[in-house]
Amino acid sequence: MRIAGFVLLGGAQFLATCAAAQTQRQMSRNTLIIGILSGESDYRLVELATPDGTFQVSGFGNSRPFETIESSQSHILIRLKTDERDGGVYPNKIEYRFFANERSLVTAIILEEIDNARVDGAASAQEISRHSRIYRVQPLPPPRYTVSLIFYNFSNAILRSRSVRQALAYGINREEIYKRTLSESGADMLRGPFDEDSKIYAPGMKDYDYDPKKAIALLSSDGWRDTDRDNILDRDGQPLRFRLFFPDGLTVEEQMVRQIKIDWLRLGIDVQPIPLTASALNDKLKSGDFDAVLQKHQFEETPESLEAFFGDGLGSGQLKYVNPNYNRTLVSSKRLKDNKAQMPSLQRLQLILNEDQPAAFLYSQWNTYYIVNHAKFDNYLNLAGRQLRPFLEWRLRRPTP
Amino acid sequence: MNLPRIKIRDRLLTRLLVSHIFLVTVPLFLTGNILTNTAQEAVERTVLERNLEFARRSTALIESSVEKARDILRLIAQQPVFYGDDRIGKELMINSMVNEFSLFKMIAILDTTGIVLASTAYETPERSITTDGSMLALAKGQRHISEVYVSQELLPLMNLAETIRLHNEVIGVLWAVVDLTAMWALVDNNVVGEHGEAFIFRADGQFIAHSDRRKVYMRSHFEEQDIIQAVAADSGAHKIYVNRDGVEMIAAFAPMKDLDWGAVIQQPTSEAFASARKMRLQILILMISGSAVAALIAFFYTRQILKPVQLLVSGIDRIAAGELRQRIQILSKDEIGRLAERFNSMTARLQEIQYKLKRTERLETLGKLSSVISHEIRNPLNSMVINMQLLRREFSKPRRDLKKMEHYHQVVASEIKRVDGLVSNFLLIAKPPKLEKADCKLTKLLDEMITVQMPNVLPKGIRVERDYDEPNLTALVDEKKLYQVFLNVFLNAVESMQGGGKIILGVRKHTPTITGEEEAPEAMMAAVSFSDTGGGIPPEDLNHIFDFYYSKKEHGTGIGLSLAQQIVEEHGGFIKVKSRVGAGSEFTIFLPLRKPTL
Repeated sequence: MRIAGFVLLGGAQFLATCAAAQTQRQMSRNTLIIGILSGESDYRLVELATPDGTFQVSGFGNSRPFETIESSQSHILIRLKTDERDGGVYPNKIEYRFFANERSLVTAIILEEIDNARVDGAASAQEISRHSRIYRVQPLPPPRYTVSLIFYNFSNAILRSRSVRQALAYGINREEIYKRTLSESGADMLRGPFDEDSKIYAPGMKDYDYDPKKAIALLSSDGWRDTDRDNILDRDGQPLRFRLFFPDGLTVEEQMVRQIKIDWLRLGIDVQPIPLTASALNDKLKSGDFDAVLQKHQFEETPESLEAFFGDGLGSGQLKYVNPNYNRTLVSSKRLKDNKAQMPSLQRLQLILNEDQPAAFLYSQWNTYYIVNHAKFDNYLNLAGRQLRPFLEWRLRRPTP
Repeated sequence: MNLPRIKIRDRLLTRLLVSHIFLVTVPLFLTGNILTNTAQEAVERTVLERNLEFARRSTALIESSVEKARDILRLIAQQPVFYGDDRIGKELMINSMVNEFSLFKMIAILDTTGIVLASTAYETPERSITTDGSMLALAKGQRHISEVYVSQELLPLMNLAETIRLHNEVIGVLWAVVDLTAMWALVDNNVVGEHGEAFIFRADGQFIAHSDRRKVYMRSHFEEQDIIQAVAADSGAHKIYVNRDGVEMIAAFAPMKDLDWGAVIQQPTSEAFASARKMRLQILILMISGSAVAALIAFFYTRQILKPVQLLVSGIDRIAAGELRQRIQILSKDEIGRLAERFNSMTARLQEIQYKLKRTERLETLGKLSSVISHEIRNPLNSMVINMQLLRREFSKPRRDLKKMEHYHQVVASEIKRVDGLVSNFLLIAKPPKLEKADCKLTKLLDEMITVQMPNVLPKGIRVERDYDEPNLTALVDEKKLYQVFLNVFLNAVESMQGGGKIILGVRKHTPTITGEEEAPEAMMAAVSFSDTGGGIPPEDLNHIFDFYYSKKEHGTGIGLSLAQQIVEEHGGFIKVKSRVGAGSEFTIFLPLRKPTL
């Protein structure tokens, strides 16, 4: 009897699992499932571009062309109000799934649970390409002027010092980072927010090539010495120690941070790397509870874009950056309406930022890898094939009879 | 002469052909079979050895990479930086190691109680690490190597620990989490063929590396118990088995002794042995096509050999049918050619004998005719004598009756004419006709005859139709005599249709059939046929219609058809008659188109 009971129970469980899997497949057939790294995107700020405008998917509002069915830190499910457009069949739902790290995301992709994702690591892209046939792995350039940088909190007494910031810049072995982490996808080493191909790029900026001696000299000139022989520099009994927040679960960033930590430890700087989800990091930034942050940021060739990130130079913004020279130049630049007229001032601003190092500009990646379930969707690339279309334009492929 | 057809299986051609093919194909098939078996065995052995070598090499590489991790860890543990309180130095060391060797996912420094002193982990560092009771062993100076386990991220991981000693005293532990995903690349690189698989499994069968990564992520298990058990018993070999999808696989496996793992490189046999099977197929095709070519050559060769034999047979058939003028074409100089020569000599001799026989027959006929004629002449002579006596008596009367005299005179004249006719016919038969041959268009001769005879024929309600297959057929004949032949046969047909009817005249080329042989030109004849819809000839009369003075007709002389046959035979031809009582008759006159070569 007991055995029969087990068999029946097992059978029932099996049938329930099959039914659930069937339902899941049925549900996912018309759903676009997007995999997102929680270290990269704040689940509260994920947006969807629609013909009526761009809306946050986790929010509320009847005017939106979709409704949010479920919303949590792990996933957001929205239902689109129409799925039949211009005769094509479009997904009627979009699900955003958040993953703790790139490894989990890659696993989900290889298990074919995700329709779309983006990974930075070339190794991950190669693994997906090798182990699944339904995906198209499309290397595409990230949006222009998407820059990896380490920015500092000017409220932190240690990091308010220009010498320390410059020493930190000289203390990063960018060449080693490039060699270990970025050589496969390719990247430009940066001196400022804009690369050398930009028409407003300011010539004459310092390179901040890896130079530990110069870094130590700068720190020493600022009073930082290892007086207690614990291999950590100190000044007035205070060790040169700070936290470095970085996005959690991103392979490239993790590798980069380890190299930076090694580089800075060699200088006697006790940096404590702490990985955070994008939402946790945003909270930290809002509250000002941070020392240094490694992050990606997208700039534009406008003074407003610089102001939005660095502040006005009088202590506004999340960096609390203070620099009268920067402030004056920014104000004068903003007064000019014409882009061409703004160019000299924008170049001056770059020179000031390069000199002052409120952020250590690291690199701009050439390629990032977009993963698309090619067996399920078409019309996801624009005509030039250089950019993904908005999700609402992605069409479901008709099932083969 | 109608002989039954020889069955295909009994024909000489078939027998020769079969023996040729047998002689060619049997050795070919035997040799081919030995060759393919040997080749297949060699290829299979190569595939097996290659796969096994791959498996062993993979095993060695993975074992060496784990050993390398242990060596590195041991070397790090001996660094002086771990002896003091230099936290930065320790962190720098372990981070550099993690940065340098991707094999290490994490390295931590523990005190002897398992408390974490430093770690390369970014996450909020745990104060202690679950060491599964290994600390006791470690405290005693032993090294630690854990089972392979799968992390939350589904990575195959393994823990290694090495003691840090100062003056032989254990002062701490270097704890490393080894990331074994490097062996994923190894299995990926060791996949053989398009549908091959390479994988590593644990003692319980769970995949920890697989060229199909999904099987690792789904925590699937290898289910071939024989291989799992063999690996558990530290045995490496190869095996052919059918997997759960019903695909026959050939698996080469090797154990990793220290790790209790097994490495397998497998591929479907259909793919592994594809080259061997392809080669076998190619050899088979070669054998079949070789046999086909051999059969074809044998066929033509045998046919070539048999051609003179068939000619000989057909010649014999024709000569047996009475065509003694036929000669066999000599196609070879071999024994069959010699036989044909002898046969031709024999036929010539036969013809000569036949000629002599005919002369004898003619003389015999003349003898018979002489008696017939003497009888036939005697009657009119008697009549003439009587009438001459009556005439003289009347002439001696004083009153002569001139009418009577006139009657007696007419009777005598008539009888004289009758005797003259008898003598003329006798001369025709007795004296062989001398032919004056020239090229003559047969249809023209027939048309002339029809034109002359139409006024006589039409009133009798007889229609004449022409059915000329060969309107321009020309033969070397005596035109006048042949006209006489045609006329005799034609009139014979007309007389057989008292109530009207139809005569069809035909001209065609006659090609005597010779089994399986192309027609010899000298054998061709012209066939002139006269078909009527008359009363037909009774079978008992059919054998006598060509006899002299044989006639069943009221006013028939019994000469016409005999004479016709005589003339035709003098031309080297013959006449054939087919007849059915009530349906009609067909007389066909065969005339040679060319003079046969002797």
